[in-house]
Order: sequence, then structure tokens, then C-alpha cells
Amino acid sequence: MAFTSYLMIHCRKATELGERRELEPLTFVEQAGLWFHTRMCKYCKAYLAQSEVIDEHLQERLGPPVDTEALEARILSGIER
Amino acid sequence: MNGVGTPDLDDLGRQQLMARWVKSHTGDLVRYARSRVKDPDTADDLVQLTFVSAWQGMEKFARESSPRTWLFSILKHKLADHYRKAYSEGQHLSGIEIADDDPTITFAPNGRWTSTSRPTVTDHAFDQDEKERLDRALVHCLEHLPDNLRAAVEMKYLLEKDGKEIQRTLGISATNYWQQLHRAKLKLRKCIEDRLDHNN
Repeated sequence: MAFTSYLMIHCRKATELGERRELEPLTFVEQAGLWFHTRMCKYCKAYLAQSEVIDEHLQERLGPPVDTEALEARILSGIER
Repeated sequence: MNGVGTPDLDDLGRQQLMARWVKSHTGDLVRYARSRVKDPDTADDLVQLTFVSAWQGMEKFARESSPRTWLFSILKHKLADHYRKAYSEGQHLSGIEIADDDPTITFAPNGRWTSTSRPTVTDHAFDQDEKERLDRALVHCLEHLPDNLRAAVEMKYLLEKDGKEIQRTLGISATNYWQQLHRAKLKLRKCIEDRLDHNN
């Protein structure tokens, strides 16, 4: 079997590797497979770009400001008891 | 004056210091927690528990780290613990598994995108000019994720992207975790794209 066949991965695999590389290093073959795949597949290229934007938003998200006066009182009375 | 968090701070001093922390940091802690759990009351409870732990462990607070950093690290642990419990209970109750025929996360048998699941190809990933709409869509879509997938996503940020630690905490194999994270992202992405299109 040709070496290049190791590098041929499908979209399901490519998108999974895109997720995994965030948390642990991929093997050389996996990296190369992902690299080749995203050069050939416009959908996965778009997916990975969108995925990156989602990750940034997930990392930074903060809810809207809320009035916490009642909660602050509850916290303090719980502690001082 | 006594140093912050040193054992020789008297009771009154400790109370005053804690009161100051509660006043300064509750707002941000609540905003953080509420964007990470579905139920606002649960979020508020976790913030309260954070201060209880801080109060009990005040002696351990090292002067080098800021109170804010310290309180946030306690809150992250509380949130991770919340998701760990929710995850094991959810699994226990229903053995949650997502149907493999879910069209938003299905690939064709050859591993390629199907016409209903593939992303729309554009020059830019989503519309970066519309950060607010994207944020709203993200919140909506996160809340519609099944609990186990939400847990998989949240753990990634609460445990600082430490894959091994996340798998250990959730009690699942690496393969299982990658699969859940993958499914969660596929669903989230599809949901966000649909929502942004829909609102146009």
C-alpha cells in the first residue's frame, strides 16, 4: 500500500482530529493527514475555521451583568454565622 | 498591618477582608458561572459555595496570587465538580447516548459530509462583525446540547484543556471523550450556523 494512503483521511476523521489537537499533540501522520485533507476539502476547511471561532467564544464568554446585592447579603450572612 | 491571608489576621480582620472580596468579586463570579451552567440559581449557589470554601481556607490563600484569581480557581473547581456529578448521574439514569441518526452530526458511510450536515463555505468563519449575535446564538445552542455533551465541552475550559485530567474526572476513556467533544462541536456548529441564517 502506498505511503500516501496513510495520509488520506475522511471528513469525519479530520473534524475529530481538529478537536483532539486542541488538547493533545497529534502524531506526525495525523498532522500530515489533516494538513492534506484541509487543502483538498473546502467543507472541512470552513468547519475548522468556524470551530476556532466557537472555541474563542467559549473560552471568553461571560454572562450579562446582574444585580447581585441579595446574593452578596446571603453569602455574608452564611459566612458570619 | 497583617498580611492578607496570614494566620495572625484576627476574626474581625478576616470578616472585613471577606466582606470586601464579596463586594468586589461576586458580580464577575456570577457572570462567569451563569454562562456555564443552565440554571441561574445553581450558578449562584456555586458562587456562594466558592466564598464558603474561601472563608474556610483563608489561611491557605497565598499573598502572591490575587484574590480574584484565587476565587476564580475555586469557582472553576466547583463548576467542574458540578459537571462531574451531573455527568455521572445522567449516565446512570439514562445511559445517555445520542442517536447516531442525528442529521446534524452524521457523516455519509464513506466518512464525508452529507448535504444536510456540511458547513456553508464562506470567506470568513461566521460574521465576525456581529459578535453579539454570535454570542447569543452560542448561549442558545449550548443550552440545547444534551447534558453529557455540555459537560464534555465545559470540562475542556474548566480543567484548562488537560485531556487526561478531564477523562479521569468524568471517568471515561480517551476515545469516548474525543467522541463526545467531537459530537458536541458538530452539533454546536450546526446549531449556530442555522440560527445565524434563520435570524437574517
